[in-house]
Amino acid sequence: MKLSTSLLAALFIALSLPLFAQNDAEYKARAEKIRKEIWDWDIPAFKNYVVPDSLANEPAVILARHQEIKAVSKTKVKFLVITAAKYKEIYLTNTYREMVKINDKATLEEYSELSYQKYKRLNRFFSRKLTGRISVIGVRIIKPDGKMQEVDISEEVLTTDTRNEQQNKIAISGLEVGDILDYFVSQHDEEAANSRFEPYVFVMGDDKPVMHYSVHCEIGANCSVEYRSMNGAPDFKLKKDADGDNILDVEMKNLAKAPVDLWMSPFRQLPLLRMNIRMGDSRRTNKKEGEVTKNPDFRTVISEAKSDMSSDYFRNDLNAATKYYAGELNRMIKQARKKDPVPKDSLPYYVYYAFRYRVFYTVRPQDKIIIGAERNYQEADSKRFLLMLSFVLKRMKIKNEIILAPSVYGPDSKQAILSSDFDYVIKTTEGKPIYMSAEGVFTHSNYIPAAYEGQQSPTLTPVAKRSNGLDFQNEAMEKLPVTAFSKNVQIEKLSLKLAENMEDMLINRETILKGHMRRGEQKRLLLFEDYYDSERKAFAIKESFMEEFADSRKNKALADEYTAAFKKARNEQKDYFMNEVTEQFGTKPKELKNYKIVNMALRHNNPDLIYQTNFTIDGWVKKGGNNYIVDIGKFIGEQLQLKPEQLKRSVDVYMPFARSFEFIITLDIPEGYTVEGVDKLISNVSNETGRFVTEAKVEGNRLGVKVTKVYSHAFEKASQWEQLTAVIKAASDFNTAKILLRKQ
Amino acid sequence: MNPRPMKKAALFSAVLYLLPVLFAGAHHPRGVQTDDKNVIISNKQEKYEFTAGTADNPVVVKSQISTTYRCEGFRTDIRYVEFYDEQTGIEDVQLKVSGKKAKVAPNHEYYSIDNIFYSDARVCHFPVPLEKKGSESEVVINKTIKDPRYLTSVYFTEAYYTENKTVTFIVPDWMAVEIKEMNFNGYTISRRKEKNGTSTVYTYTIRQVEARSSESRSPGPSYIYPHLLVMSKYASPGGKKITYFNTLDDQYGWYRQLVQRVENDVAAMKQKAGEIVKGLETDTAKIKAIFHYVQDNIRYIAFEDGIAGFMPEKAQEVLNKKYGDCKGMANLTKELLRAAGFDARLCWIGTNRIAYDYSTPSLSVDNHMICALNHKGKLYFLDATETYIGFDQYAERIQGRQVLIEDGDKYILERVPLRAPVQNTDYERKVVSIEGTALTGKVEHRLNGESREWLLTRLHGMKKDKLSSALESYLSEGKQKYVIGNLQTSELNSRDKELTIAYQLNHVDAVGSFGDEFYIDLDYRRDFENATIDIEKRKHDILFPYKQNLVYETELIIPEGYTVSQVPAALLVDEPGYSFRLDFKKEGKRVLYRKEITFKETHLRKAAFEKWNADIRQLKKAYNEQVTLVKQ
Repeated sequence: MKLSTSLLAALFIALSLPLFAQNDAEYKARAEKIRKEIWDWDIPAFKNYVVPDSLANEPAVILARHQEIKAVSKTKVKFLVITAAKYKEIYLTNTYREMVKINDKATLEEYSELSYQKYKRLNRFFSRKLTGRISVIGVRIIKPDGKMQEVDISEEVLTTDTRNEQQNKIAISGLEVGDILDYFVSQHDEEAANSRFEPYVFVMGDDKPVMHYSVHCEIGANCSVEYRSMNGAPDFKLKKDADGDNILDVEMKNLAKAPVDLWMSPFRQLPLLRMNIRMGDSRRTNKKEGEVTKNPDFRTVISEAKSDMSSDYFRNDLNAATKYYAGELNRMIKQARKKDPVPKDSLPYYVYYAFRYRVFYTVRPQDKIIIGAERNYQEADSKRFLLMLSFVLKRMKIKNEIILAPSVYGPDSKQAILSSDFDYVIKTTEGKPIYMSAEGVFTHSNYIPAAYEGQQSPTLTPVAKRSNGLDFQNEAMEKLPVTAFSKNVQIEKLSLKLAENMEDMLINRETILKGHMRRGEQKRLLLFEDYYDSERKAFAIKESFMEEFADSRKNKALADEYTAAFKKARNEQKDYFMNEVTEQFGTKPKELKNYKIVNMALRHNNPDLIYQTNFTIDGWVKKGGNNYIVDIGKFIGEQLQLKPEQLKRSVDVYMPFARSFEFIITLDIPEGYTVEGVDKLISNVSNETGRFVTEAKVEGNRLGVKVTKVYSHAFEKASQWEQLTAVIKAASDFNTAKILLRKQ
Repeated sequence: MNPRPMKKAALFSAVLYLLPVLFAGAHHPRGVQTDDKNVIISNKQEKYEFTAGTADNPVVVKSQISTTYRCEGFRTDIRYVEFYDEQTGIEDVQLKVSGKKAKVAPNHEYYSIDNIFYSDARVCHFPVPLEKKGSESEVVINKTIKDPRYLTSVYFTEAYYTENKTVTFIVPDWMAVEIKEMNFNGYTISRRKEKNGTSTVYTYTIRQVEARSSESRSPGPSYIYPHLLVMSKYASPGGKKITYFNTLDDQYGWYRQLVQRVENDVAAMKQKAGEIVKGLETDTAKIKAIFHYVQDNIRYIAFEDGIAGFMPEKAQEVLNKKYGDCKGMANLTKELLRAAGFDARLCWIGTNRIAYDYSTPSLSVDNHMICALNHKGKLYFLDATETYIGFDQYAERIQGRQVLIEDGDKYILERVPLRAPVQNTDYERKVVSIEGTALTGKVEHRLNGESREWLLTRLHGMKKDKLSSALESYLSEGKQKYVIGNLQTSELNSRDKELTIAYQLNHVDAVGSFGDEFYIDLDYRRDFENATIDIEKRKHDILFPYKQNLVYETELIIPEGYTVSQVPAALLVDEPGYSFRLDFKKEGKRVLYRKEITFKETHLRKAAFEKWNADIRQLKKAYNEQVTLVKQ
């Protein structure tokens, strides 16, 4: 063993000796050749320096943009000492050239520097003559008088210089407002590999108008390609050249500026082409050499997702892992049930929480001490988490299937082209379905992340085969359920009292966050010490890891250290609460007196995050003579204000989820004062997209104000925008609402 | 996969894929800084020994830095960071963890800071594990400084609370060094000077010193931390005398031979200067045209590259490249002015981040270069890196600073003039009437000096199709109900005129209408209302960016049938560093409100924090007072 590792080490040293395969002179010669070739491209758009009058006022106009991709793979045989090996040499060129007219200083700034990876080491185990990755850039400037000047690339500076990589950057010299910048980055890969998979996205839209956009691909006869044209993007024109290579071309002209602002899902809204090139061994790529597939059937992507799942399962020996976990979890649940007997149909919930406990809550002596807020932000590889959980459930006789869920911010199922377009969600299939997903430390059982809600999703049931591989059964399509606005709620109960100085407002606040609203604040506010303890007790685990450590001779000191770390985390919690209040109210409170978590919302049966804060805000009570004006509208927190350019909208609206807000405000009317202006607080804007409703009344010496804001759906058609803006405007209008406390 | 390196914000940033992170921290929560002492430095020894070198580097400084960390609370990894550059080499790094020699694999990287395009600074960093509570880890680094001029200062404060730190200098008899103690007040630092054979050993020891803390708007480190300024004067290691910076003459001489090596193309400058001043009659017009040409056409890009960090780029190169650092821009300004027949010089200057002046010759005295113009017996200073400052206006960072002006083989020592806050006046005048519950009327702004520069820099950072809405959003402070119409501005590239902005205002719901009364907040902006300082947390003095001078006037026209029942009381706060004046006056059918907030100084010392907080509270209280009108 020892011998082989040191042999291997020696081998690697030998391989890595010459820093990069080509020396500077060779690079320069090659770069010159590449530059000449690219500058000589016969694409008329790069010769047109005229911006039409209609675009004259744009800060920047892309006159031409062209991307060229060339892929070749060659089968080679290498004779080694004892045996011979077959491998592939992969040659891939990717050139991106763009010509942009610069009309203001901000655009000048945007284009004033160019950074790129000049070298990168790639695999050349079998063939030393392969160069790895070499990138060449070219930059030239066309002055308003038509004079062209080429930028001297030797002015570049190194920013990274390691064994495996060199990064450079250059400040574009001579560039001024009014110039046209014509530049390219051309990346040339040569590597020895069995196969290579290259996904591309060509977006037919930008935050600047694009007058010409074209893509040209030359794909060697022994590579395969699939592509999908989406959201109204044009199709590639396909032809074969004399060598049988596939030539794909696409061109679009006069693309207007794409909206890239509030509540967008570009993958579902902008015209784009996605393309995958598969090079190398066709058994590995599962494609025929030379094949071009247009808008592939999404079921081929499902097949890939299945093969990913299969290979994850077997390569990582999840069979053994799930067996182990099933045993562990069984023990945990048995223990827990002694304390809290539950009906059988609740078992899946227990399994989920037990598995979550093992992944996120367990502390081992060799772990790094990470128990501050950063622990709350930990995430798991959700696919592996759920694949393992699916088999653990199965071992515990809980039937389930895996749903391949596409995100609303990516393509829908039928438009998928990569297996990574899908995440997993588990669904139990006996009795009332229970969904399971893996967003992180606080994910509940029977929860679906917001981005997957309402998505038509393929479902399948993986079954382990005796031989290597998984079988899949019960394939179907299912639309994932959607949560209503009434499930995703923020409730703020505020009781306000004027301080004796009649300037500060004392605020007692209780916040209740439901559904998708709770996740962010759980991460920000909860302490590992508390939620660990709560879950440990729920599983009736007698000893905490602290107690275990304290009892062990070897780890005794660790218990002390965790105590110190917990103390530090608890000290920091005040700042997190301070940040929470400041964000909610848009102003830093004068003082945060108290804060408290009432319910951590760790499980579905106790689902609402509840916390209390007690603080003072100054500056929201104004004095006019003997009377006081209270900026009561500010207590609902800063509301979204649309910018003038956002008031009109021609694209659909993708919001995170349907949601609602409730503010229940009571103000103690100070003795000797009456309240005026209450009638003006009452309003009601309601329509299909949502509502903003305010109620107010005086009861005894208390003013009560109730404000409800609802976004009815996660998605609205562009045609509904006007209605939605009415709700948004009503809410932001309320921010300036005032009442008067009149001295009697 | 598209190689599109220029795009700063990709269209599809992080939209599509959930990046799998295997059971490891994915995000760091925002914005909480604690002064925990989980790890401290139990002992740090820094040794600097001047030794004889080679012909190229006759004196080199060998330095050994040994740092022992101790874990006080819970085990963790920290990162050891050491900087070096072309003049400093790291020879050797050793790590001991809990007394045992450990493997160390330092990462060497280019050190990049946001606003510096390129620097020769490198950073060597690696993790240092602290195995358990009470355990210690030690890092020993050996460095060589090739030229003693580059050893400028040694600080006593560290990134961690330090129990003991010793700084030792071993100075052979052939080496003349002056070591100046800076900011020792308030610290207990013991010092010892011993003769050891043919050397003198200087030892400084500090105990129980708090960690450095980075706070926004702090004065530069040379103002706030105890340190030693090291001035290498001269040496004769092999009997032959080498003079470093014995006097300012020597420092100037060194600078001078560097700038003399810059081959400026006089003919090219003549041609360009001719183009710029063509048709201009007066000297002032010509000077301004040249200064503004450089401000407008040369992008500031900072280079800090070894010796090149002290040598300007050739003027013609900067002109062609259209970018340069401060030296390149100063040199181009100078060359263009000279080509147009003016007496212009290069100047070295330390900005207000630096606590020293040229009485202590050292490379750490200055960090900036500007151009001086001697015109009709008066000196003017031109700093083209301040893109929107006017001629004869000075940015706070150079005001009052000592400046070393080239004068052939000699030099001139001067100070950049101080400017009163009035240079930077930000004036606003509103004349408004009540319509329903809105305030409507005309508003005019006039901005000058650094307040104009501040706004123009931000506006020109916006794409031009967003510029107008950005300006509106600045004026309305992002509030939709502050509706701006018919917005007009003076030329947005002008540096010698006030920036004027005028618009029609319809401020919806600005008036509280209750019964027969109107309650009106005449101060929309409430400047500095939240400027109180958290005295418990704040460690350092505060340096405001410039001497602000806000003069805001509002004239409220009282509607027919109403009288003024109440105007708020005036406020006057007049401190040596700042003043707040709020005035309300009733004049016929008008209420006049005037606010003037002036920063007479930019430096607010810790001792003044309590008074400042009390004054801000008064200011806020005054802002909360409303004008009341009542129906007759």
